[in-house]
Amino acid sequence: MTSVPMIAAHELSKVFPLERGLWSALSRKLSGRPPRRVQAVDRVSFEVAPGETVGIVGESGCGKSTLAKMLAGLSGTNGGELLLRGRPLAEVMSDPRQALKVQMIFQDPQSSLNARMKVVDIVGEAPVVHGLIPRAEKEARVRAMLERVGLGPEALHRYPHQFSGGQRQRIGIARALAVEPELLICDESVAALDVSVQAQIINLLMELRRDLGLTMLFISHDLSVIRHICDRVIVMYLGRAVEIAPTDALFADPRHPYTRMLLAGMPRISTERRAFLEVAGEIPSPLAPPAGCHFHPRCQFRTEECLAQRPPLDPVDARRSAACLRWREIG
Amino acid sequence: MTGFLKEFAESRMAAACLALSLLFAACALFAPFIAPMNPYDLRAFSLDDARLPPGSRQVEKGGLFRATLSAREGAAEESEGAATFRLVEEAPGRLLLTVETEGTLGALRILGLPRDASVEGARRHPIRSEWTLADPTAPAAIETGAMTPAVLNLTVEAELPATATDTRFALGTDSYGRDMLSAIIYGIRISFIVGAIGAVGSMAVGSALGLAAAWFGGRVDAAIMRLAGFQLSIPSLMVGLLTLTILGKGVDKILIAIILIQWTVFARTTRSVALAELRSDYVDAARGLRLSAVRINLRHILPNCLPPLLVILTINIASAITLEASLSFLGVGLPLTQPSLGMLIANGYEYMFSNLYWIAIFPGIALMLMVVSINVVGDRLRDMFNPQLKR
Ligand SMILES: Nc1ncnc2c1ncn2[C@@H]1O[C@H](COP(=O)(O)OP(=O)(O)OP(=O)(O)O)[C@@H](O)[C@H]1O
Ligand SMILES: [Mg+2]
Repeated sequence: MTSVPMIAAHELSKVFPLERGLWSALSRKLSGRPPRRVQAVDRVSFEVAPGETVGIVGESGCGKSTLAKMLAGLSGTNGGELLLRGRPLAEVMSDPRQALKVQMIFQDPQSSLNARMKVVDIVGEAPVVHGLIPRAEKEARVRAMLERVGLGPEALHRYPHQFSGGQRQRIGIARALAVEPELLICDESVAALDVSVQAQIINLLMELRRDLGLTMLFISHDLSVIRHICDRVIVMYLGRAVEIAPTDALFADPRHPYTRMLLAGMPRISTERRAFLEVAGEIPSPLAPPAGCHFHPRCQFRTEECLAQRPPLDPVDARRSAACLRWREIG
Repeated sequence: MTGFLKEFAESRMAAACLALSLLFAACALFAPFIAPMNPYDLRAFSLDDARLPPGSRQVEKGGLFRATLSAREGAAEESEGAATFRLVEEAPGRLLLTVETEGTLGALRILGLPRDASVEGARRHPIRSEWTLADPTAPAAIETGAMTPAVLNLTVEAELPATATDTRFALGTDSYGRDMLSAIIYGIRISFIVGAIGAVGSMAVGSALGLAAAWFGGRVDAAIMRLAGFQLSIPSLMVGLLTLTILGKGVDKILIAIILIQWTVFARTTRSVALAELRSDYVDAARGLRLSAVRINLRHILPNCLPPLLVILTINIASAITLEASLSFLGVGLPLTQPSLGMLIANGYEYMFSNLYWIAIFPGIALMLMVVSINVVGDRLRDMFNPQLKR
């Protein structure tokens, strides 16, 4: 990676306090117990090169969406450093034109479009407001964007409820494209869709990535999708990145026991059924994660050491790293 | 839209009340074209018509002829329109006045006689020098007293009898002879406009504060909602009375009172709907598109809060009308120049026990019908917007 990375995250963290207000503060003072909070993202470091597609996988609640929102500037960070194209996030976000370069595609096509706005306004509002195009060209721009995502001009003056889920997702993609982004963050963008529609949307995203040279961050439950489209994969567990590796290497030779469990739960042959993550054992509560390595209660390789110490994200080779004390013995 | 109306009209009662509400709204907007009389026009009504019961005809005064005569050469004649006045010195110190008109006279008055003069068969006004003949058709004999008739200057007024016209006072008249129906229509105009503007103003203030509470959260939210809670703990009539006692009468003051009372409901509803909307992805998308907070709130979130707000708006128009009527009835509301329904009821209230029921009852019925029908419309809208009640 010679060029400046699109994203460079260093020890990025996010904590949600679960108690607010005077009353709970007082009762906490009296009982002396620490405030309850969720460490949704726990010192995650990674880089994404321009033009790269990076997948993020992990069980529900492991902090994927929280991470995505931090990257998109939709929620603040609690510690750590985040550079977009080498500039601190806060600096990028203070310049609207630059901030527009990061756009998100959401999971729920129902709630990601405002039900009371017409497609032409949903897609065309931001480019006009930010002066990317004059008001008079709004319809033309929206028409071009709709065409780009495979919708006809008749969609222009309709409301979201007049479209199917897949079409709505296309409108959401058109909305993001209309402000000429460089980085697209897709948070479970196909999870709510029919299998056949999923494939269409994924193909559309791949086409756009190729044509527009987009950098993409692709969050998914679905390992087969990740395998299909991603250059590299970040595996998360309870707020931490446990393994980062090129897709081929990860699927061929996983080094973290959690990744191995994920892959073991994946159907060998891609069938009609969705390959959801299935891992043995209970997911621990994110409110009280296990000490040391968060994964140790479910891990067949655990040692005394795993209970005491957080394993660092060790480089396995030039392009991959794993956060396991015993990665050398696994695989 | 037609689908909406069809669904609305599934309740016959609601449809009837909607029609009635629209009628009241039309009264408010087009009062000058609907009302048979203009109750503000002092020339349009006369005390002769005061306190007529419903259905009475308006009386029209007969034509009035007036002439000034002087019997300088023993006789004088003067013509005024269709009337001819003749004055003859019948005997020394005695004048005879005859008036000829088409038809019979209704009244005959002689003015400007000296103190010691008198008119036979006539009554003198207790203060002015004005003699009214008991029988206006017969010639009038005038005793001039000490003064010689030649220097007398008499003014004579001859009036044709009053006739009942075709105009009827469908709801009677008030103590000034005003047509109650017209007064009520103009009263509806004032009540409805004050109620509607008051409720719309409350919605503007309340939803702005509700949006701010939801958007900023934390201390801003706590402060706004505490204020609303405090406000709701005081009875609304009390808030109104206090406000108007401090600020004084007037339409603007009433509107301030209505907004002070009603903003809380709008703020609470807007806040709760907006909090749910803020969790939607489209808000995150809008923030990701770097739209301003004002734009996101007004163009994206507010339209999604509108259905419940419109229900509350309808119901609050009715309660603002009631509030204004109560305050005006109590005498702290609108000034006398703007007689709303509440003031009409207050004015009529003193005549209730002298059997002049119509002066208070009809404005009361109008007020009740207006408030009830608007409320029924609001309830129906609420039912329609509440998905749990839908089949
Ligand atoms: N606004 C919030 N306030 C408090 N806790 C939150 C908030 N948002 C997320 N969390 C918590 O942070 C953790 C991570 O949540 P996040 O939504 O990022 O998970 P995820 O990986 O996207 O899960 P999923 O696959 O179900 O979408 C969860 O334990 C969640 O309960
Ligand atoms: Mg998520």
